[in-house]
Amino acid sequence: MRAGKSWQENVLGLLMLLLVFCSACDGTLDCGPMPSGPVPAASLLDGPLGEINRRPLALLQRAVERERPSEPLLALVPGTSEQWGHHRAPPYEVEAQGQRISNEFRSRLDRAFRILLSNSVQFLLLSGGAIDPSRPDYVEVERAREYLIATYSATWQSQRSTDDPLSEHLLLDPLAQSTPTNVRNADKLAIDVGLNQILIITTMPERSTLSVTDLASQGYYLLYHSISTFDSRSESELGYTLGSFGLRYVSTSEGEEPSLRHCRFDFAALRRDEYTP
Amino acid sequence: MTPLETPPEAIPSVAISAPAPTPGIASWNRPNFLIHLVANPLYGIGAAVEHYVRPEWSTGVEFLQSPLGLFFTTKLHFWPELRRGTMRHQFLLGVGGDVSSTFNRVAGGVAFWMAPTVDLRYLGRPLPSFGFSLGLRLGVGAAFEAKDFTGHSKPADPLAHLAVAICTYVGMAIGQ
Repeated sequence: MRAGKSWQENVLGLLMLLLVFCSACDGTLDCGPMPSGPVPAASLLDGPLGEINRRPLALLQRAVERERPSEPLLALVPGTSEQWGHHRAPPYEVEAQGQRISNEFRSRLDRAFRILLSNSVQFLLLSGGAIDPSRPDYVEVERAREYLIATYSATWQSQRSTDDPLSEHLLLDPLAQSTPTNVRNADKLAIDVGLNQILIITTMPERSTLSVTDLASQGYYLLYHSISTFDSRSESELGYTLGSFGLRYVSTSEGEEPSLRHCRFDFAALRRDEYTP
Repeated sequence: MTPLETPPEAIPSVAISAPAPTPGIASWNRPNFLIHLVANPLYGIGAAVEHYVRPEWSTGVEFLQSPLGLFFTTKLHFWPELRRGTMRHQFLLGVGGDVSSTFNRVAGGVAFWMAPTVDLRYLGRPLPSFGFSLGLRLGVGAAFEAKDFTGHSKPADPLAHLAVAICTYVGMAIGQ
């Protein structure tokens, strides 16, 4: 009888230990110190992205200096063009009917605008280049910018002053060709302006028990970066991994919307990285 | 001492006790507890404790840390009589089921996941009361989330309810 009691106590002790062990890794991200020091030679600010984004970048830098934010100021919105095949532009007949981006990309942009409007971030970095070799006229970020301005300028203007146009809150990265380069370019830009974290607005898993569709989503790919192939792909394509990703809910007009908080950048590796498109 | 010339019928009989039968593999007790580190290739890593409540029945609990939340699993398995291996190296097959739950916002509060599972296990026991184990548990079942019942976010795809249990583990066995 006495021996039985002792193993029951042992089991209880083990369970408590397991619970403590598991709650210790609850996915909360400590983003560490803000990047500081001179902007390196491999900076994207002095390169093509700086040229394209002169005005919104100046505003972003001013906001960083003013606020020294502990929350993300910048949200990355990676492009996606999978509706008509892998990395395919919409067919001409679809474009003729008025659809110039995929439904999935449009859904990301709609959510990104709601998050921007809710003031949870101040700038969006639209990312994605000419990913369809057969259609050099199709550049994801150009279509994304065009969609946001056409769809939401009026809504934006009705809630902001006239000297604060939506276009000045949109940064473009037309150089990225894959998820690791989407994220790498955003990270380089972030540390160049002095940010230690960004938000990523992408397609998220819809079920915590992970349906087959969820396993194919970019949110799963990034959130489960060490299990999915994202870390190994970054390592092979870039020579380093790209930090941590955590689930983050943001309050918008549609309620609480999921996104990814991304930080713990490898500052040294990003600064060393001689960007090649 | 019996003289050599003594006829056989005159030698008194002596009862020689037969050696005790070697316990068979099947009669060798299962370990009392197994403590495992667990890795699910889709979800994440965690830990588990299992207890043989009877020689052929085990029950256990498992915690799995996923980026979307903490999964808590209870499991019950039947282990038929061992037919392969030796006392020191046992290959076991368990048949049973898992019931998992998690509490998080993605699920709309709570999610449940039930799956019949098959557990393939190697148990190495250098000592009767201490050993090592490693194995793989597989199953397919159904998953339900709180938001499935709220009406406005019911998934259209029936595959959304498909739950796949894939779990590898390594750990130690204690007691017998």
